[in-house]
Amino acid sequence: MKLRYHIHLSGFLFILLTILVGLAAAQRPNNLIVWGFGVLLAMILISGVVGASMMRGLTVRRLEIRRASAGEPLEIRYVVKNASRWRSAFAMRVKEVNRKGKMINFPMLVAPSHGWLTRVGPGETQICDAVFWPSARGVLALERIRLSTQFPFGFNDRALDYENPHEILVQPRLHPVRGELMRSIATGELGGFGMSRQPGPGEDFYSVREFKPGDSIRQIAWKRFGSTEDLLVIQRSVSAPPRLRVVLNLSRPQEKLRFDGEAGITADQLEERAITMAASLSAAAEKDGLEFGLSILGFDSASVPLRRGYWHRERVLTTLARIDLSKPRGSSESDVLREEERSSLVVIHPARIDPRCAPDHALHWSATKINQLLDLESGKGDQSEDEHRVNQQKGMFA
Amino acid sequence: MTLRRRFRFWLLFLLVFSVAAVAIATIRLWLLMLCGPILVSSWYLCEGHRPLFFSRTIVNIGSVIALSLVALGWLANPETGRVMELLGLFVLALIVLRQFQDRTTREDAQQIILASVLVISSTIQSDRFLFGIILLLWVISLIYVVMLFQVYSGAVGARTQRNQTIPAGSFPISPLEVRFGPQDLSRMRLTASSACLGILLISVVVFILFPRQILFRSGVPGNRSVQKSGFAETVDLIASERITTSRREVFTLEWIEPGGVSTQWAKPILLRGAILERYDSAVGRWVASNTPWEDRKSSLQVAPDRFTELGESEIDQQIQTYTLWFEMRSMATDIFFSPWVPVSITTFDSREITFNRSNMLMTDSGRRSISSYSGYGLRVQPYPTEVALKSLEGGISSPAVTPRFPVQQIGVITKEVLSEMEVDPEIADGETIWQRNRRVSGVLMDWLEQNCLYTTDLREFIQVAGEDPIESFLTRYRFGHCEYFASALTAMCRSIGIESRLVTGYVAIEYDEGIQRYIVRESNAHAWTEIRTGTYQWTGLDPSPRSVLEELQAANQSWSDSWRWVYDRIDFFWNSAIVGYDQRSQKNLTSRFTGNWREAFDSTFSSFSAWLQSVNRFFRLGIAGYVWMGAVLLILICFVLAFASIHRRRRLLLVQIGVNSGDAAFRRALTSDLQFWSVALSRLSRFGYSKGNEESPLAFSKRVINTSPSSEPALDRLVQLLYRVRFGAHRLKPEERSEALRLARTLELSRNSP
Repeated sequence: MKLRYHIHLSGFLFILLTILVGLAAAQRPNNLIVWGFGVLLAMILISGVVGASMMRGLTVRRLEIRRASAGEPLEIRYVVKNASRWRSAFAMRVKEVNRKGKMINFPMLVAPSHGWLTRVGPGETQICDAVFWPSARGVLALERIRLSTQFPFGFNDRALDYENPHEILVQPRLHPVRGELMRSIATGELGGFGMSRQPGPGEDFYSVREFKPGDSIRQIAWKRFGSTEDLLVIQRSVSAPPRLRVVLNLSRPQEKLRFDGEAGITADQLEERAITMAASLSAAAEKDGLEFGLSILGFDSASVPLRRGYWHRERVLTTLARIDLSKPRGSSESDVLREEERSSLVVIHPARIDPRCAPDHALHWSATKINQLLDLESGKGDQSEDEHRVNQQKGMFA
Repeated sequence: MTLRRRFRFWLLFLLVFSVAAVAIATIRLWLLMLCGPILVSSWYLCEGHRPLFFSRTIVNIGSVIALSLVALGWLANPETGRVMELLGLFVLALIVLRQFQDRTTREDAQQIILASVLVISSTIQSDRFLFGIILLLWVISLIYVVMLFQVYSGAVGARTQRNQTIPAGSFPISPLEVRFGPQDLSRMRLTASSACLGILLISVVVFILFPRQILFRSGVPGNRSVQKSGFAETVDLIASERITTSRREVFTLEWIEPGGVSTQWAKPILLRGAILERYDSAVGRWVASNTPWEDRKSSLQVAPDRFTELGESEIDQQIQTYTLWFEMRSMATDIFFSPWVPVSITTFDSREITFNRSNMLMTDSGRRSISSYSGYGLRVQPYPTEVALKSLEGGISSPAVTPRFPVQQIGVITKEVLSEMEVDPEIADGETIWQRNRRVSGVLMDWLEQNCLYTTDLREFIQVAGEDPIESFLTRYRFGHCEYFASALTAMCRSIGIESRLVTGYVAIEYDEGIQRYIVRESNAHAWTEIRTGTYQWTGLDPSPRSVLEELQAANQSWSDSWRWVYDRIDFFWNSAIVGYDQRSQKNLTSRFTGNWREAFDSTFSSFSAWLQSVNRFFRLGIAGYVWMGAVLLILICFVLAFASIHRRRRLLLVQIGVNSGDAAFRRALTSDLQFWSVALSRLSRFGYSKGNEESPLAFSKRVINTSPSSEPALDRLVQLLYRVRFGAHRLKPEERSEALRLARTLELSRNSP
């Protein structure tokens, strides 16, 4: 941790002014100019001393970030502590920098940002935040936090870098699925309500088991008791919601993707669109109460089993966020598809549809048709609601 | 007040200071009277709840007009010296115009830069004391304003960047909250004060150590920009700028009789500064002779502890030798003013002086510095013997010459005057030339006194083309000031063959009985005539009527004269120690530091004693004055100690009750009501009970009561009172306060064994 100095243009101009006044003072027998030169010189010295002493005793750390999504504000919070007993630190900036000391500006971020603190008093701990805007999903690797100030005179920047490596997984952007698309997927031949493999408060018979204290006498299998005198209770099964497996077909290398039509679009963008579609479909399934899973063809990652709920959605989105499109592609076969799982199947292709990769009953979507499948424009209402829920979750677990 | 408003307020303050600096530097107070209210009005117009701004177009047009006016001003009078002045005016116009526009932080920074340019350009133009004070205040306010600007612009920048990060119309995010409350402000002020102190200290060190030249070049007597004291080494009858009514004290003069008693001399003391022997009739100007008696100049080393003889041989000082002590108040020059005729000299520290034996003038040849001396002592003989004069002039007399005056008409006028007075200008039988000189010049002086009016108002004295001003004075107007009187007498004497010369200097006429010294002011600058009345003898004749001089002196006196010495002392310190600080002063300072500390201490002590004596004389209290001063000093010390003690105890109490913030009235109320708690804690501490920082008063009292149950009733009562006052907004009545103090002092405690 080393104190860094960076002189701004204003600092250079001030030094130039000081030199000029110094020359004038040497040439002209006017002692007020000499004093003025002394003041300018002293301002430079005091600027360095005050700035450096302010930075002493300051520490900063990043608060853990639980979730980030492309197309949503990413708020990174920092805890700044001033261990000094006497000195206040003024006008502090908190930035994310890389190991070379440059401000981070990943392609996935719209603009660099920084946190701001007007004053951190002696012995105080304060929290500030910096708001970023990730535009694409992926891993945002943060390396160092830079605490800097231009106080008191703005001639130079005094900065301290703190090692604080951290990765933020930015999930894909979510859009609502258009119209009745979800219902048509969920009520298909294999996707309707069915019997669960789990016991629960449903209507259908599941099994019998021995009576345990606390069981209702209504549950006792009296007929069985009459015949065997064993005190057993009947277990019911829970009715299972519709099931949906999202299959993301990324098995074809980017150079072999076949697409046309839209001017200027690249294979990489098409695959990103496919990922966005998979994420949006999963989010819509979670919202409608479906059990959903994810399989990715072309990568060795394990399939995500069929489950439901918010945290399962997070698991699916995290899996999608971790996809590294630069890796070589593998087989287009999946064990899950071979097991003939009882669920609706939606296969998402980046470009041209390849029906051979899935059973016949599967639905095939192409990322080139994203506009027809997802509502790219009017997703704000849903997202706001989503955001609200996420914030609630954050509040609960913060 | 928000951060923005606070910054803008102090920026306005800085700008007004800048304008004041320019106004004082250029001596144009109308600038301050005009621009000051305009700038202040910008606060009410542009910083209110419904601000009104000039559009940028109007500001730009105004700037162009200002630039055009400045350019026209330059074209009308293209002098290099006016560049800074015109630049200053243009910058001033820009500052005023931009103050009325809706500014961004960048434009605020530009205002600060423009103010700095304005003040730097003024610094080149002025070195006055008042300007120095304004400059000091400006620097302090600049430091504070720049610090505020850093916080303000940083907050604005962070807020802007935060808003720009999120694409428009997408997610709403919470705006950046900038906290800048009273505690932040007090900390900022503390930091700014520390920075100011550091900057001023460093700047003083730089000021002292900065390599300099000697301010005065060889042959140039004194710094013209500083030496504005009425006295001049030329007399210009046409321009006549020398006459001043300034009441500034130039120096004081103590006249000590041979018996050692300070007294007032019977007549005004003429203190010679320059001898003007040559008259240039073309321009109406008296100047020093261009044939100086270089070979008759002597260089002397003067020591501070004894008088150095000026004569080549020893002069009998038993003959009416008076001692004069000069103490400079606001003037610094290399000339030693002296009445006729000095026989020995001493200075406050070692000097090298040049004594011109031909005219008895002394100058500082070694240092030629504005701060060369703060005083000197002279021994003079108003009625010197021939032997003494011969010794002083080195035994060589100036050759007797028959002078002529270049304006022929003066001779005619003089002859008419003498014939009117029935005086024969020729040497009578049995009369020496020196007696003739004395006789005739006396008549001419009387004629001038009786026939010409002394006045400093020369508005009606209009120079006539082709006519010499002395001739105009003698024939056309017959009124003028001392320069005209002295010029006329000198010219008339010369025109009839009497050796005479014009002398400029000061006349000591105002005697202060309190301090037993003459006060010589700038308005006491004077001119008179010297007539040669012997081989070595010159006699001073002052044709200006003494009664008029005394009337003018009395008329110019005001109540403020009694206190002028305070300002004049500061002004003198400014001129000698700040404006006139040069290479010599640096050497002096170095030698003082490297010299004997004991001597320095003794010198300081003796200076302090002298100061005490002068204060005592001022109040005319005699020996009882020292008792009074001792008593006042003792009271002052007690007051300072008591104040420091009360302040410390209050701070300690605030820490003890955990009050770090709040308005001053609240804190004051708490500290006055809760004194009992401080007393109680002190007593508890003496018995071994110390309250921890994290321990509440209630928990602490329970701990004490557990060990020392006898303290329970009193301690419970005290803790209840503490909580009621600290958190219950309860104010104690005087009787409650005294009761609580009594309880705190009489707590029954058993010693706590750790």
